[in-house]
Amino acid sequence: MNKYIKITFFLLFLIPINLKAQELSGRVTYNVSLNLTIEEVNQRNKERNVKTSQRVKDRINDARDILAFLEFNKFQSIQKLESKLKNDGKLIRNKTRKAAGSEKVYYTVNSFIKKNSIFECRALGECFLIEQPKSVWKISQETKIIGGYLCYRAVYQNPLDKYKKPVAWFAPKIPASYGPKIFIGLPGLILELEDNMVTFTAIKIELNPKEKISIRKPKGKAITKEKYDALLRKTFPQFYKKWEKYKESKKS
Amino acid sequence: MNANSNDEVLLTTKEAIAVVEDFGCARDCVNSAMNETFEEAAADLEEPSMSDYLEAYEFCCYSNC
Repeated sequence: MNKYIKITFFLLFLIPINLKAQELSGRVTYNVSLNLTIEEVNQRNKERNVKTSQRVKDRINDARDILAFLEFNKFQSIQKLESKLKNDGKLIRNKTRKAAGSEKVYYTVNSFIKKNSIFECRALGECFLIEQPKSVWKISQETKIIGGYLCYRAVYQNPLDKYKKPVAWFAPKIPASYGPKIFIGLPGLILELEDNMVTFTAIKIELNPKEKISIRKPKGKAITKEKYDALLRKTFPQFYKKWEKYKESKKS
Repeated sequence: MNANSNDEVLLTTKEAIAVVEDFGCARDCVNSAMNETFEEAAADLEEPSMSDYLEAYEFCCYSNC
């Protein structure tokens, strides 16, 4: 009996210590830059027999780096971009911002149920939490150091882009399965992500900051990506009809 | 329509022209934003997004109207 009391006493002490070790939270600031070049667009357009317009070239040339912020705790993460760029009160369009998600907020739940959603309020005049497919990764042994952390290379396997597969560099030493945009699920925090058009690079990593990181789930109607896309097509049929016509006109 | 409602609806010619011009500009922005969104989506090999279209429209109106 005495033995059991000792074991229980030992476990009671051990469990809180262990839990505390797992309670990792943090805040990462990423610099986001456009990695799409005019040469790449020219190459793609050449294959489609289309000339790259000056407007597209200007948008690439005028792109400016922006910041993205990821906050996470044991169960959730949220990622947003810095507020819209304004120059002397003038509104500026930035392709980097567009490619990084503009006004969208990326929210992840990492408990027993793992959910990865995009919070969008603009298109349909109502807020939605659009569930994203589960991330599938292929991890390689290739490594590099980012912000003092040894990072491994992983390639995103879900079909997103015909030309480029997103590549993540994650740090197993920071055991938080989060990252920018919809890219989550690796055995370590993503410190660099090369998406199809933009690259997120961690420039500031704060782990377990003094003030508690509390993340509120954005309030929106939960919907699958497929249902949301169908809803957009139903709400804006003219827009998508015109898009089909545009694509046809470029083929001929 | 009665006289009162006419008073409310009819604007001075100058104001009416301004409204028509505003409408015209907004219409131009619908077309230009749509073209721009399609052109970019095609170049980026993506489906056009409504949010991008709305942003392009907002920017066009902000800059030109």
